[in-house]
Amino acid sequence: MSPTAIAARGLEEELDMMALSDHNAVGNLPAFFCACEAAGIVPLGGIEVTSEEEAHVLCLFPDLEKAMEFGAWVHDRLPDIPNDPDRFGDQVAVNENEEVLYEEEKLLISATTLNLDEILKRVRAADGLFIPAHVNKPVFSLTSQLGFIPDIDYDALEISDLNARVLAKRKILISNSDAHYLSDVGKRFTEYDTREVSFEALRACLRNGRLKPGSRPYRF
Amino acid sequence: MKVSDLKTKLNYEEVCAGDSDADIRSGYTSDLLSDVMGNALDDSVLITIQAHKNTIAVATLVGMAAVVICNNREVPQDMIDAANDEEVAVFRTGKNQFAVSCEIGALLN
Repeated sequence: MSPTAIAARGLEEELDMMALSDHNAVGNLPAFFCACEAAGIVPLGGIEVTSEEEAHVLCLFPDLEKAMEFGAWVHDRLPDIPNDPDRFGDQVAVNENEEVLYEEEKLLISATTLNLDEILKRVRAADGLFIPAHVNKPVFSLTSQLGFIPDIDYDALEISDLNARVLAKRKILISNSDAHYLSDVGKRFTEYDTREVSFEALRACLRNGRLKPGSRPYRF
Repeated sequence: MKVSDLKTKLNYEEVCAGDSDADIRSGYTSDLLSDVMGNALDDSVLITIQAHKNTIAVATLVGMAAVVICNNREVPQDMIDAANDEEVAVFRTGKNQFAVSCEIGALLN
């Protein structure tokens, strides 16, 4: 699933804005930004961090540079457990021509040594958005790991099922495809009530609640 | 003890047989996979409620022979498929992690 192929799928799905958020890695973001810009899609630099509690958190940043800096900080806080490509697949970073730049040696499905508060603090310092991922899921979510959604300073909560019942003080629910395969790109999305398509417009919509999560039927 | 003892001596429900003749020399009880990854020993049994395929990935990485899923948590099909591929035994029981740890501990001693 190369950044170029992801952007092409985004175009087919008529997405205005897309985020790439690999597990604990940012190596494919530069190519993703190139591909999205070529396709006329606004790119968001992101990363899905595995906290010490083993909850996944989607972190989005105002620009590529901030996302890359944050990613390097996360990378240093992954344990030195090597990937086994035969078992877990190749972890490559590619450029916009789909040429392999390097192979990530640390196992990216590992948990970082960062707790939720540390991640939140660093995201805030980088002016980013902190969005606990798929909070309704029985694995790797706030709900599965803590048993509840703590009243911390999140920008939104991501749900993987539009009918999910979420017990939270502040319910700002968004839905994203969390696509691990090309065919899943765009299967879930959120519509934001804004003319401008930008990171700051997204932030404003999350603040004022002008948004509507959606999904489409499965396509082959 | 052997992997098969989990079924024959402790009556846990066998979900995936794995290598039933393999030896188990210790156990590790944890619901945090990173903790298991960092601290569990090979040729051991994992006692957990984490019933999903990532548990099999971690068990394989460490070289664990078996996983016991506690509290009757449902074992999803993709976990069963992963366990069969990797030849990791999976058992299920209504007992909790403490009770299962005590039972396996008694067998190991």
